[in-house]
Amino acid sequence: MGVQVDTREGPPTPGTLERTPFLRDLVGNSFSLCYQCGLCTGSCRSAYAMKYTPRQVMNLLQLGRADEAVASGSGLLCTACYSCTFRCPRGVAVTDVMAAVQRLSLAENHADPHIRRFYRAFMRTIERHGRFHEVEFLIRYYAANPLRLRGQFRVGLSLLAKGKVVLKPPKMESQKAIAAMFRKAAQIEGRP
Amino acid sequence: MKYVYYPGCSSSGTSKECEESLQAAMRALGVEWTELEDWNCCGAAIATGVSYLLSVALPARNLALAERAESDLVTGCSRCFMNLIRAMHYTQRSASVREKVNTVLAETGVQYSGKARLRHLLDVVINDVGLDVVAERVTRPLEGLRVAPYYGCCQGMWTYAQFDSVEDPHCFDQLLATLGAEVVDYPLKTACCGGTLSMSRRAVGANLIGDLLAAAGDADCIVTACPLCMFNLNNFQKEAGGLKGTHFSIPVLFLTQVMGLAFGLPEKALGLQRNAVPVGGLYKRIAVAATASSGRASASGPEQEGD
Amino acid sequence: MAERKSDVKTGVYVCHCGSNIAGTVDVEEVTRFAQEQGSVAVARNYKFMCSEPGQALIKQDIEELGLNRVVVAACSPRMHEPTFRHLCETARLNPYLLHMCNIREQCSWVHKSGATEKAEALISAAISRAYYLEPLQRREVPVSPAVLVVGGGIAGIQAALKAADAGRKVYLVEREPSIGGHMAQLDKTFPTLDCSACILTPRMAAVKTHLNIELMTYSEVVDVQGYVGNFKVAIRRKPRYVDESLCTGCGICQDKCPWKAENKFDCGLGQRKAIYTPFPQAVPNVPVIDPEHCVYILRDGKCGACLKFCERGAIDFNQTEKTVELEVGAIIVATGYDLLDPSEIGRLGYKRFPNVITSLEFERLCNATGPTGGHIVVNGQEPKSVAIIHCVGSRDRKYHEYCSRVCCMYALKFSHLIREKIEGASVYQFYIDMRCYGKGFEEFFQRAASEGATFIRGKPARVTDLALSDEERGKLVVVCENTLLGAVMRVAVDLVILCPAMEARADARDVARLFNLSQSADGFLQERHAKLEPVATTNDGVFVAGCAQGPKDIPDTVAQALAGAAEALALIDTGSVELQAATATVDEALCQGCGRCEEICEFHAPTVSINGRLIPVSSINEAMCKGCGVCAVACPTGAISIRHFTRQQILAEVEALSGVPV
Repeated sequence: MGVQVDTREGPPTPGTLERTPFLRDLVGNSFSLCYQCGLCTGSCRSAYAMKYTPRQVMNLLQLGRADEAVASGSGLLCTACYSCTFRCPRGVAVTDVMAAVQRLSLAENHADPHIRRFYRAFMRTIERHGRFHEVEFLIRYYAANPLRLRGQFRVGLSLLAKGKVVLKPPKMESQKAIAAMFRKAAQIEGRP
Repeated sequence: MKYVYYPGCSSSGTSKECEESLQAAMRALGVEWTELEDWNCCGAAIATGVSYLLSVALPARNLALAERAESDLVTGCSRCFMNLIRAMHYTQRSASVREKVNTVLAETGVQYSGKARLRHLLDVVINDVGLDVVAERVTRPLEGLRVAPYYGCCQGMWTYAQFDSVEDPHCFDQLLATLGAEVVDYPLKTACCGGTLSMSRRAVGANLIGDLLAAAGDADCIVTACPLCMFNLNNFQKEAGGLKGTHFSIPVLFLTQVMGLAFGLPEKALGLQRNAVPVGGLYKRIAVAATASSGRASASGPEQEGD
Repeated sequence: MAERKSDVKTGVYVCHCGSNIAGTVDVEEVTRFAQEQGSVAVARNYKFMCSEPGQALIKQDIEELGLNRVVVAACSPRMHEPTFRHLCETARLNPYLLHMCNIREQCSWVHKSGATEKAEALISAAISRAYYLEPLQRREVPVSPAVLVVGGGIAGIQAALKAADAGRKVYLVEREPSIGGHMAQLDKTFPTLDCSACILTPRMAAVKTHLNIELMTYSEVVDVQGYVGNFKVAIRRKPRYVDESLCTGCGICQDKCPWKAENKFDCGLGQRKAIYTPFPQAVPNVPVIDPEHCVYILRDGKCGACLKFCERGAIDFNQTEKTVELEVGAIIVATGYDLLDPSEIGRLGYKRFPNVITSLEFERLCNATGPTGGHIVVNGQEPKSVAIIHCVGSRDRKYHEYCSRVCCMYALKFSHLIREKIEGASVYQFYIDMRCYGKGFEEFFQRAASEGATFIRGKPARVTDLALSDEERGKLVVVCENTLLGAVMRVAVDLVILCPAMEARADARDVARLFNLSQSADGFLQERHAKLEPVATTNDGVFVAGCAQGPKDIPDTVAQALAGAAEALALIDTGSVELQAATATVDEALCQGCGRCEEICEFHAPTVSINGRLIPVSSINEAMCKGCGVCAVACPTGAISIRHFTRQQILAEVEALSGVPV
């Protein structure tokens, strides 16, 4: 597998950018600017837990080896604090590139099932109600693996006791329209 | 001063105390606002993992609504703020992004043209209301209270770049000092708390939270400007302590709760009873200093409702 | 279109420029097209018109065919107009009967299709214009034989010495009380580890004693008028309050003065007195009195210790600012650099932690004349471990995109100095790339590595005092991803040295304006051509040398300084300067004496005065005129025209291009 370097006018690099055409509008090939200084990784609070650090992810993308970056799950640990993007001396949109990698990790089942469920459950409540509904999210998330509830009891009870758990789902006028937004976005992005 | 306010999804639930204290404190400062009608979730830190278009379009809808209401939008939630301002920047920078976003927004009958202006609560308090006005409202200076100002990660390059420093901001320090508190040097003041990692990757999240709690040193409390940070720092002290081999029990307050305390507002109004780590001990600190400096403050805590 | 006169014979020469033009323009077709135009006696094309055989073609045609107009369709006139003009002269054709048509930069290089058609249009316009060209004579003006050197750092000193050695009078103007510049602040220099003062001070002394150099320190250039070979410069000489002719440099005044101030030479690390020389080897060794800290000046005669103790009576509070006017033929601008202030980069802790210092501050600590007498002591302690952070503000889009060239090398030098002065010290180099490109540089890198420096490849994310373990307590911790290991490291050290970017002086813009120079995008003063003219500028007669032009080390600075001297000498040695002939001229019959031209001209060439017929009219000083044409545009009656760019000539081009009779 050779090194792929493309120009802004040429075809997109294989891997990530091909599969998320929408992202190319924003970050283009910004990872090609990376000169591997490591400032992003040094600034990253969760890099220590990543298999490939943000800098290594940029390198993999430069080499056309996006699959390895996606499989590593590094993108899932990104908290989108933007420290890396702010500090990058070459102006690489690190956070946005990591977000693209994150999306592919989830979509292509490289993440642990419970993490996928986390994201899906969260988005589902927004799709249904237009706003996040915690209780419904918890039910969706923990239903498949109730054992995970073990670690949450203390926090859950504390919230309940302090009146911070809202059982009623939120109501907003354009609920149906929000669901339509979801469908439209999926259509444009070619997602199922 | 009138604003249109974007509450964010956690305001009625997990961050109820942030919302309650925000309304009370803003009222005390004479700031009027109305809630943005028909607002939707901004996508939190989750939408980017599922769909980039939604992660821009969901917040953009709120901006479009603000545009229609011909008003600036203010939010007290840093994560919402970051999502909204990201949507603003990305649609402004790229015509094709704007086009796709508006195609999605058309489903809800609005369009976003890029005109709406967005402000964070901290920015409004410091730059619009002004520290002089804040100082005037202080009836119970927080003397003797040692606070660690936790800015969080979200505002940095989007806001402080305009009126403060991104890497070493001082606006929040100044606000807390105006309230009379003793602001300690907090080296991790802009370091990320891990966001939703506390729930999706407990070990990593708790580790980051532990770093933040440990860095507060011997401060009496940490004050945050973000409801999500508030949630994290409040509710996972036990797990963080376990990871770090220590015990954490440090009160974490929201910016408007601390403002409300200094304004002499009642505890219930500020939702202080909802904070996961009890804040009762703090009253004694403030009261002791207050009694020492002026004769009239009560030594038994903030006024209860009905006083 | 006027009827073609049969005695105009134009030769058209189309250059292929290798494949630069021929690659996109069909040169044969264009040549055929040119041959068909009226007044064209011959049209040829050739691979490289500017080469000897190419030029020979033209010369032969001029001589054998009696050509009286030459059109060369090739690269930009900025490249080779002088070449072809000179050729015409050798063929005894007036050089202003040449017209160069740009079919490269403005045609073949920018179009993928349609280039041939465009070239033909351009050439047809060129031929039309050439028809109306007139022979012009160039004037010669004498050159002032003196050289002005602005800036007394190593660049200025070397340039001044060289020009003076060649027998020319040199004025060396320096803003600070002493010459020496930044080089005087350094301890040892890479890669030879020569002591900076040892190699510099003899040169400084030579400047002082050289009969041909007039040294003006504590002085600034405030105005520059004139043109190449004939500059009139005004120098503002600030009052020292010490009589240079009486002072012996004994130093007693400095001893006795009770008032202190921050020592700029020591980067604020040390103090000096209100009456001071910036460093012991100062040239001239005459102190100055700082009016902002001298109590005698501030409080109207209180104190006066120096007055009392000076045995020569050299203190003179009656001195005032003086302006000196000089006439020089060439100017060399060698105003040096500043270092970026790293407090902008908050995460590195400069100004927040006392143990984070810049490279220049560290040089002062190492230097025996520095605030610590050459001992590396920070905050009262000798550091046992030191981190050196490269690329602070360099190679960074947020500050300066360029590389500052010298930092990798002086960081290695620091490694050596630290390990030499502090037994068992650890040195950590935080780098991204090691740039050791020069003579002896790579070898020096090996030496530093073998002496035991640790190299960590990574750009540090932050410097913090938050200790996470006992070893870190009381130290500064550098947090960085070790990119070669692929792991984030925390390195606890006693001292952090930052290598800040070398940047253009804070007043570079003012300097550029003063000398009519351009600044490059990075803020430094711009050379005329990046490859072939590194010290010339777009302002004839003004040259730039040293770090004022861009970051560089001492050998490169000296090379540029000597180059600047050579350029200045070449200019002056001919004794005269040829002025370009395309200057403005006034038709007195049309001139109303309104003065608009005088107002608008940046070069002060037109002046309105009463002429012999007692009418106010404008007249142009051709020596000052640059032929820019602004006066011609401003003139409401059209009285002013520019030779070689007359209305008739320009409109002929327009008509040929547009096809519309004008």
